[in-house]
Amino acid sequence: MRESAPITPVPDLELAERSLAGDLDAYSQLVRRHQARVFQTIYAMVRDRDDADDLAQETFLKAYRSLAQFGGRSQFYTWIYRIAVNQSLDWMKARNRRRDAPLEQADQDPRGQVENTDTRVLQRELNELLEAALDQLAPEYRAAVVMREVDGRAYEEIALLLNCSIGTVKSRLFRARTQLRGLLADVYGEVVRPGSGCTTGQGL
Amino acid sequence: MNQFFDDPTSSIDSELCLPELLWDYLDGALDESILTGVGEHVTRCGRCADQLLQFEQVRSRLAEWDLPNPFPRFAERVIARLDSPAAAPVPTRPKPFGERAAEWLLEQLVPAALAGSAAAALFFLFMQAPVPDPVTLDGLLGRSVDQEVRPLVTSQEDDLSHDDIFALLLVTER
Repeated sequence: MRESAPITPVPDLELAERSLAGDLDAYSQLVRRHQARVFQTIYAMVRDRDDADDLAQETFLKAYRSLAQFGGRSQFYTWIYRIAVNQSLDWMKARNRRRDAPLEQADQDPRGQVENTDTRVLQRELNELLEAALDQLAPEYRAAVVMREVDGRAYEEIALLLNCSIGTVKSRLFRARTQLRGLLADVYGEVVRPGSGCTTGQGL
Repeated sequence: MNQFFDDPTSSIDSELCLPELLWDYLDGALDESILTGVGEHVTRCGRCADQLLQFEQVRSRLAEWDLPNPFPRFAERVIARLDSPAAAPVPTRPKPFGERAAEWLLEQLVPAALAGSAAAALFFLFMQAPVPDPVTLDGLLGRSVDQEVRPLVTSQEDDLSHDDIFALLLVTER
């Protein structure tokens, strides 16, 4: 039996160039390749599946219309990730302005499947607690913490993507994480107030 | 081992009780010069150790966040929306030479034409303006005498010459 040669995926840049030339199949491949990560980043920020779906679609539409500006100077995912983050930030700020609008409730079953086991229920409850805590954060803080903790981006990358200094990123992250720790106190036990001293510094 | 971190009551050690440092410690964002010190501090400071544990829990909670996947047929729905002229990419490719040359000429010629027109208009206005008498001493004296002095001293003797009037003025001043 003859072994088939491994299929090398077409690079993003080539697909982007073909898309720019009007090849929708090429763009469809790009969408499929990145849709999950783009959707999940947006969902982590807006925390509503329908809104995340709309924003993810808008992200890919906007990217398609702006393909000529891509130019391959960065990775395609980094480029579209930036669009997704900006779309989500705008959405969060707009929602915060609508003070009377009730916060979206967490999806009861975001993945559309229920596994009635204790572990699954606990996991879901933790997710809901986490999402409710994230809801309390200001849009900029939430964006920073999602980019760092969920997407694993470096400080420098976040600064570049959010168009701010590394110091600002660190400051936002610190406030966001501290706030999250306080909001998740029920899960993780007693909250220690920041700067409340330490047990080694006697008499502090 | 750094001597500052050996003494649990040292002020340097207490300065390490900063949540910011703990987060940077977790992020691996601390300089080598302080990294070891913070690590050792955490082993001695119960409160900081607790905080670090909580930070790690928050971090792992976020990292393990079970995020949902997109709805089915996501890509198909995006592509369906793209399949319209309005969604076409906006081209920013180089324009043909003729078009660029015309744009360059316009850019260069319009300001030059405007400047030339302004200069021509100014020249025309200058040429149309009445030419003043040549500035001479006689001319200056003449105007001065005619406009200011003659009415004062020769109200009834209109045919006095300039020299006569000056003579009269000199006599008057004395």
